[in-house]
Amino acid sequence: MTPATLIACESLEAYVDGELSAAESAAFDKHMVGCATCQQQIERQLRLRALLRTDLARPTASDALRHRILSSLPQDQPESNVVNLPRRQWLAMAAAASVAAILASGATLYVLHPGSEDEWQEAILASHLRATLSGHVIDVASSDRHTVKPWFGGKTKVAPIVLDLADAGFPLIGGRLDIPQKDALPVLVYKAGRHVVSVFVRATEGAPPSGSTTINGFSILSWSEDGLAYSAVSDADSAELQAFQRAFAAARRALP
Amino acid sequence: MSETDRRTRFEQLAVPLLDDAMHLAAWLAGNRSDAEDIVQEAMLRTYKYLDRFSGGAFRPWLLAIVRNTAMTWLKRNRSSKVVLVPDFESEEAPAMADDAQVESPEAALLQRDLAGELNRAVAALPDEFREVIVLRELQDLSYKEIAAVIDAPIGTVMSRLSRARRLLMDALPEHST
Repeated sequence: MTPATLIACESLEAYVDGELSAAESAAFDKHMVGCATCQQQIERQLRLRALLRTDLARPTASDALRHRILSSLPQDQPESNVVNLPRRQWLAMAAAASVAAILASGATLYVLHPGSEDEWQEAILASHLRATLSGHVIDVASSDRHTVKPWFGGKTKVAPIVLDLADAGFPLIGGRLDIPQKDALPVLVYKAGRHVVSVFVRATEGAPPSGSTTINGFSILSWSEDGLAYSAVSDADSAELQAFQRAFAAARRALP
Repeated sequence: MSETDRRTRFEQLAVPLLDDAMHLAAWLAGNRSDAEDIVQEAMLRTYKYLDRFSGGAFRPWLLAIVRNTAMTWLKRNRSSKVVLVPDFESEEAPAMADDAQVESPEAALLQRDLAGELNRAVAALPDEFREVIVLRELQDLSYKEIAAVIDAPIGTVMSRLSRARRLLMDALPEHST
């Protein structure tokens, strides 16, 4: 082994970790073509990484802990906690109240139209609110669609198209799993300016639903793509969601 | 900074990272209840020192506080007992429940076994190796950020990561890595 290849072999982990410069990375690519040891090692490294990233437990903060922390912070005037609630918290409380209202009205709708589109919309809105209120918007954080799509692999019955819409002003921030109704569904999470957009993906029976609606100030827009139904939920306005959907459709057409 | 400003900043910067803090604390402490105490203490410190944050990435800054709090907390409250099976292990390994529906039951079982072995292998790593693995693979930090969190040179980060990975590969069934 010449000194040059020795250096290259040693760069393997930095290569896998994306820590090499573009030039170093290209040099390593070249080296790897002729190095069976590196080819074999890189596969082992990638398998280990995939295993760690999918199967390592991620214990989350309970609501009780969240509450304990927030209520233990010092206050300006301890006796007037309620008045001093920051705006965000008021908004959170208002939103929580509307979740309750939505859930209540959802229950009524269920009686009227079991399994209806209305029920679906109430469910995904409640799910979007739960995620944004708890701060747990994404299970896998990545702006790389090649990371997000495989992450869903095998976890849900539907495999969504994951598109990068950063150029259109809607950066992908990650994905999460959610159970708005009875099945675990993939949710793609994008940003639209300061707004979070949750895109729920499900298989449809019969005619795929489409169209937009507004519930309690939140916009919901549904469309279909390759036989799957996509529903985007956000506090962005419906014009912005429509722009998002146009960007999504355009990016889909651009795929090979 | 007024208390109200501080609180608003804390809610914008730190609260969204509670789960990240919990991932790290749980893997350092080896159990959920110690981790919750550590996270609470770390969050109070974060709140107190918020004006010392001088820009840049907030997450590594917060994780450094969590890590230092954990070190002090564990020294004070834990004898050198080794926890081989973290009590959160099966709890939140992402979405195992659905596997059975999409794979064969045998494949799902194998997958679950492997996940269990992986979690136990990580739990069994010495502290200094476990923390770099968690910071790299769960928190997705760069070498430079990890170096800042554990207050060590980048070379040390690289050699510990490498050693940790070799230990994990040795601990897992051959075909899996």
